[in-house]
Amino acid sequence: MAPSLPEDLPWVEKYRPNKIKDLVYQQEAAQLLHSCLTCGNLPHCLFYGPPGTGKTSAALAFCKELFPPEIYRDRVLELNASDERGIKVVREKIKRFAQGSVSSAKFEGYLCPPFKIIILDEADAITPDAQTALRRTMEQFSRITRFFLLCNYVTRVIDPLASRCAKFRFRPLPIELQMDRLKYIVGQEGISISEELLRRLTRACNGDLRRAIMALESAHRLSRGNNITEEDIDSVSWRVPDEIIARIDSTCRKISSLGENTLHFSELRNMAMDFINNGYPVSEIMYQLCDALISASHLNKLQKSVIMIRFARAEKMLVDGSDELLVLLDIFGVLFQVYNEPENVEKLISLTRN
Amino acid sequence: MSTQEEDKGLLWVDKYRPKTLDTLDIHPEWTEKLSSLCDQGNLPHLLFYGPSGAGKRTRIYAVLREIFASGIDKRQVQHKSLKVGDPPKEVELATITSAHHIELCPADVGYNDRLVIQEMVKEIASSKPIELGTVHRGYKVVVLHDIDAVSKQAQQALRRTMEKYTSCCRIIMTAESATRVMEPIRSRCLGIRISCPTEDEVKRVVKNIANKEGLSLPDSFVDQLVVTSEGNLRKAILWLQVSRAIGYSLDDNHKSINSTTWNMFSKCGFPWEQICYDIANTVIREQNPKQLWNIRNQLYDLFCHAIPGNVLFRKITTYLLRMVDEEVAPCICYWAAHYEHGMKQGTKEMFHLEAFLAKVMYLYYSHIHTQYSMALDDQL
Repeated sequence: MAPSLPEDLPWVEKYRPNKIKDLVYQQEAAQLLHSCLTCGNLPHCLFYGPPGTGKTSAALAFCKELFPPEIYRDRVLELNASDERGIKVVREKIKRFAQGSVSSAKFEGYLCPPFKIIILDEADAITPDAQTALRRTMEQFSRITRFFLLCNYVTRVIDPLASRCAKFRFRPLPIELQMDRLKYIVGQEGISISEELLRRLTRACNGDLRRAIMALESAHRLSRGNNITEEDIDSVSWRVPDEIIARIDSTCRKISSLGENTLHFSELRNMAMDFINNGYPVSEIMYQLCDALISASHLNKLQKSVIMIRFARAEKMLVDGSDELLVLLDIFGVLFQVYNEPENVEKLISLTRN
Repeated sequence: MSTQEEDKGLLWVDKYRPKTLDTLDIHPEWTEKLSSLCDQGNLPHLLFYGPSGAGKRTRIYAVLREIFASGIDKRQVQHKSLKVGDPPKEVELATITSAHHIELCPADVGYNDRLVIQEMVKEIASSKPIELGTVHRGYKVVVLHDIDAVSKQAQQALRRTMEKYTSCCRIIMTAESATRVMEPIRSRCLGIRISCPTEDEVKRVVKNIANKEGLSLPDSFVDQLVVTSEGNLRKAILWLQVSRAIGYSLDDNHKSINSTTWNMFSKCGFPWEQICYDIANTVIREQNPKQLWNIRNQLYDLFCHAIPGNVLFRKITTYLLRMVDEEVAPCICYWAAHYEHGMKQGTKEMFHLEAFLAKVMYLYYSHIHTQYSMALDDQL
C-alpha cells in the first residue's frame, strides 16, 4: 500500500500533528509525553475526552517521535474498534505482542527506549470481559510494554484498568486556539475566508477540531474556490439554520400571547412534519433549541425546568434510536403545554411525571 | 433500438432516474456544489441524509458517474458469503459491484453488522484499486446504505477505518436520519442534506414523465398525487404508473369512470395506509375492549405484510393528531414517543402498539367525558 501524494489527503490527515510540540492545548498530556521523549520512561496512559480533541493524534505523534519508521511496526501495535477485540484477541494477539522481547538497536535521532507500545483506540468499545482479561497482561509485561488507552467516556473503562494508568483529560479546545489552527491552515491553503465566518464555524463545532477542519475543507470545496459564504458554513457544519429555531420560538410566543381557547398545536405539528421532511437532524434542533430556551427571559425557572426534564427524556429516547418525528412531536407537545398554560403550576409539575 | 426494448420492462422510477448530475431535476443548489466537488476529482467521505424518496441514491450514482464516467455502468449483483466471528458464522450479503465501487447495506445482516463492517469494508478499503480503463482515480468508493440502521458497535468499527484507508478508499453513506449516526462518524464526513422535493417540484417531474409516456394528466389528478405522495417522489412516480396500469383513465371526467379506485386513492394512498387510517378512526369513534380486539386483527394483518412497527407508529399517530382536539394532542404525542421508545428496546412490537392505542382510547374517553360533564354543569 503505497502512500499517495500528500495533496490528495484530506486536510484532517494532512494537518494531523506529527510532533508532540505541535499538539494544541492539552498541556498536561503534552508535558508528560515531552518529558518521556527526553528521559525515555513512560507510565501506562489513559486519554479521555470528547471527539476531535487530539487523543489519537497525541498517541500517534508520540510513537512516531520515539521510534524510527524501520522498527515502528515491531514496536507499536495499534488496535481500534474496527479490529476484532474480543477476549480471544486480548488473550492471544495482545499477549503475544506484549510478551515479545525488544532489541536494543539504536537509531540516530530517535530515543528507541526498550519497550513496546500498544495503542488501544476507542477503548470504551472493548467489552468488559476483554477489559478484565487485559488487567493482568498490563501488569505482567509492564517492563517491556506500555499501553495507551484512548476513549471518549472514562466511565466505560473498568476501574481496575483505569487505576493502572496515568489519566489525562483532553478538554474541548477553546475557540481562540481553534481559530489559530484554522487560520494556519487557511494560510497554507491560500483560501479567502473572513474572520467572522471562521468564528461562526468554530462555534458550531463545540470544540471538536477535527470537525472544524473537516467543515472548513468541505466549505472550501463546495464554494469552488470562490468566497465561502455563511450558507456554505451552515450546510457543512451540521448546524440547523437559525431560522428554524426562530420559527419554533415565534410560534410558541404566538400561543402564549393569544391567551386561552386559541390553540395552535396543529401549527406545531405541521412544523414538525416539515422539519422531518427537510431532513434536519432532530438532535441538532434539540441542542440549539435548548441553548435558546435556557437564556430566554420570558420563561420562569419552573417552566424552564419542566421543559428541560422533558428534553432529557427526549434525548435519551433519541440515543436509544426512537423515531425522530415522534420525539420531536413530544418536545413540541411540552412546549405547547407550557406556553398555553404558563401559570398553572400544578399542571406543569404533573407534566414531568409519567 | 435495443435500449428502448430494455427500457420497456423497467419501472418508471428506474427508467426516468436521472443518470448524470446535470440532468437532476430537483435540488439545484446541491447539484452545483456536488459537481464542483467532483471537478476536483478528489472526494471527501460523504453522508447523504434525508427522508426516503428525496433522491439520495440517485445523487450517489450521479456523483459516481461524474467521477468514474462509464466505469460504473457495468454493475452486477453478487451474493457474498463470508465467515466471520468466533466461532465462525456464515453470513450472506447482497452487494452491487462495479470496477470502481461496491455497494452494500450492512444493516441487512442484522446482528452481525459489526463483523461485516470489520471484515468486508476493511478488506475492500485496504487494497489499492486495480487500474482499469481510461479513468483512474487512485481510490475506490464504498457505498454503505442505511448507515443509521446499523448497531452502535458497527458504527464504532467504522471510525478508524474511515481515517486509516483514506488514501485509497472513500466511503459514501446514506441515512434517513442523521441523529442516529454517531457524532464521531458525522465529524469525519461531509453531510449533504437532501430534503423532500417541494410540491411544485413533484408536479413538474410527474408532468414531465407523463409527457414522455404520452399521457395527459388532469390538474386535479396531479394535485391529488402530490398530496398522497407526501413529498416522496418515488411514491409519486410509482402511483402514476399504478394508476396507468389499473386502466385508470387519465382524462378530465375521470371521476365518473372509476370512482372506487379514485376514492381509495384520494383518501390515503397505499392499502396499508388505509388500514392505519381505519385504526385511528376506530380509536376515536368508539372506546371499548371490543374495538381493541378488532384493531388487534388489523394490526396482525399489517405485521403479516411486514410493515415495520415504527412506520405504523408514525402513521397512526399522524392520523390521530389530525382527528383529535388540540387539548389531547400533546398527551398523545407524549405517549406515542413513550411507547415507541419501549418498542425499540423490546422485541414484541404488537404489545407496544396495542398498549399505545389502549392508552389513547382511555385519554380520549376521559377527555370527552369531562367536556360533556362540564357542558352539563353549564346548563344547570
